[in-house]
Amino acid sequence: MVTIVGDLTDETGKPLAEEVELWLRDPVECIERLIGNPAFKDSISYVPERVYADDSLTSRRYDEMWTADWWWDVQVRLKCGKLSDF
Amino acid sequence: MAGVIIATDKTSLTQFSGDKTAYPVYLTIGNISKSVRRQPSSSATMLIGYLPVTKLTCFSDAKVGNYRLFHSCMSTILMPLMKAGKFGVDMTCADALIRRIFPILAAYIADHPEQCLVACCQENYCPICTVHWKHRGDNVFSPPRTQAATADILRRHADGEDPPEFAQQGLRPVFSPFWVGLPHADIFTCITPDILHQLYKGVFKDHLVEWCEKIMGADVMDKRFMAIVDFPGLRHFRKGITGVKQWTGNEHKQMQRVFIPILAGAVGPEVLAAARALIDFICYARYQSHTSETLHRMQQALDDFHSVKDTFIEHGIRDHFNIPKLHSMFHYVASIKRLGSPDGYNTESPERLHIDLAKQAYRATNRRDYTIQMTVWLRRHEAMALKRAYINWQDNCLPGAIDDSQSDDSSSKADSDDIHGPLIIATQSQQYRIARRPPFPSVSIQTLKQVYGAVDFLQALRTFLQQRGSKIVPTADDFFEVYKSFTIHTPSQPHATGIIHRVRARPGYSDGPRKPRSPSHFDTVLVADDNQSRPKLKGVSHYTVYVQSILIWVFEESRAARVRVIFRLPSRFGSFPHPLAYVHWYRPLSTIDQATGMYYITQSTRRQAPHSEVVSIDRIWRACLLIPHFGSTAVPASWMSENTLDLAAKFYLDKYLDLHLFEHHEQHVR
Repeated sequence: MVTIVGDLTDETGKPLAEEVELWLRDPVECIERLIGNPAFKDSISYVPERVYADDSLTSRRYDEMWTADWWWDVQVRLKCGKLSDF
Repeated sequence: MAGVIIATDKTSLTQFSGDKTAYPVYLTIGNISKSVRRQPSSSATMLIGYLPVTKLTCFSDAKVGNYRLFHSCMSTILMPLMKAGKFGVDMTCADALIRRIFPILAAYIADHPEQCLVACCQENYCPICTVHWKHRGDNVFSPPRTQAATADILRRHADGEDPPEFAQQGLRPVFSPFWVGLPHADIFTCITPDILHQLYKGVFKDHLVEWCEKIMGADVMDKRFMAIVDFPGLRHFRKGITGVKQWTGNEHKQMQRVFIPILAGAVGPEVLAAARALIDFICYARYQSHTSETLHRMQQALDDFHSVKDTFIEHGIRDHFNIPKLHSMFHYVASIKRLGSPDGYNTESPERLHIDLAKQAYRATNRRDYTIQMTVWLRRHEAMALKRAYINWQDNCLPGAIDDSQSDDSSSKADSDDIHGPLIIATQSQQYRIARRPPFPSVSIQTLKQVYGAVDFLQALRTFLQQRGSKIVPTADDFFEVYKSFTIHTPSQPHATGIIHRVRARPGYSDGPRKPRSPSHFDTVLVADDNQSRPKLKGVSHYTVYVQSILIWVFEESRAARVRVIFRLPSRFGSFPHPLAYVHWYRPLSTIDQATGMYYITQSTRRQAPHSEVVSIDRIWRACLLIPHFGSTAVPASWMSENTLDLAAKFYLDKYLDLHLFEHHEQHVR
């Protein structure tokens, strides 16, 4: 874990300042660890889906994040803008 | 693409004294299934930082200072996400393929004050939409906050202009909110429902229970809670509910299971309808999986509530419904459509993580400069967990381990049960489990009559044997092998996990002269009709068929009954594939009470005696909870939890007992 001491100074009208500590690590690195963890191999999804509860495709099923609308929408936007490998 | 989920939650580190608090920030991704994310042991959630906690004496308005400090820290932490979200990062995935991943902020889990903090708004405003605080009680749509518009207003305010929207939308002067540069994300749509704080603690406990208590009186409510029949897994409020001090999510859930039948009769029909609508809504919110249809019903429940809520004003309980938590319900359906069911965004999960990632870490320190020690501790623990996972993985790769995993799953499970489980044996249908050897190997009919209350045992058994063409007639001198209980396993359904019902039939007993006597338990069950053959669960491929068929025949073809004796016949009577149960029937399920939407249940009698029968226990498909029909009168003083089933004449079949029963009710009975 990488920890960096960030000293932030804040002031309002008066030039009063206080030093506080902020501990952090790189979120992108964390995501890489999570997505690459072989323990999750069977329970991970990389693409959005639309799941239907019936044969006539009228009743949608919503449960995991990738079965809902947001992921689908953003994926479409990503595709239009830049290359993506899906 | 990776849907990033961030959760923040302040927590105190010490238990009794001191104001040492930590403010951890957790990160996980929506790509991982929510069932895995939920397990704290899976380490699918990572700590990405501790925010500073300070009193901020250097600000004239500490609140504003906190808001700015929070946003400034968060933008430092999340800075790398901006670039990664725009251009993507090549990552090796769990299946060993390399994908270009775009991490994008999808959800932000927090409780109400922190949601407002994230949204830069005052705490009496809604963090999701721009509804005015005076109109939060109305069921009307208001335009949602949008990231671009809000950022624009904040910037103009910072530049010295005074845009009228700033005050209208209840914003706070934050100069650079952390979400401004995050690509493709709209922070206001990321804010997820919070069932624990909003629905359980807010809508249910603080409001609904409170209001109803005022209408019916705390004393009446307590008495009714105390008279509820003891049911395995249901918390029995022995001293009523008004005395309960420590409220957890579990207490709320337990109360919701029996709340409506308790209200029935004591409050007017409008109040009951409003309470029903709210409880229905909460049940739907707990679903693990929604369909378009359940979402429609969920919305309907909310609309129902709003159409009758004025009754609380007429009762003089409320003057208004300007309650942020009531308003938050308005956003649930939209959020489920956007991000999936709310159980994946439960605030209970970060609270569980505190124990591992903050509190244990804190205990390992010497209480001074604890943040740095905690980070070291956590780094070591993470390294250890990684090594452990690697060793486990290596173990599994050894040839012996592979053989083991290849053997048939179900049979190996049954085998291990045979060896290790002292009592339990899996039967062929996998639906119920019962002791292999009955704990009471010889019980006389006399005892069954007097102690078990099986008044017509002999007659019922004769009829049972006759119907099966047996020539042997049991006599009053016969002895039987009697069980204490068995369990029924209800398989998972998409919206709810599987449950195990325990059905008990045992008289009261005492362990010794000084111990209090344990009360007797004769549980109530639903029994399927005899001519309906019970569908067997054979393999995974039949799984859905089974679930659907059970849903269809269940109510129309079954009756409630009270189990008095669970027993096995000596082998000279012939062989029967399943143990038997002697039951007392209730009348068929036919009348539904309009006010509560539940079935009425009354005892069934034949010739002034309970209508009894011997049934094969594979016909018993689930346990059920009967709640006495209290009516508008006071609870008789003699009614205790142990004897209400005997004393009360009329019951409700509680439909809120679990989500399986609830969904079935809503689908077929309405």
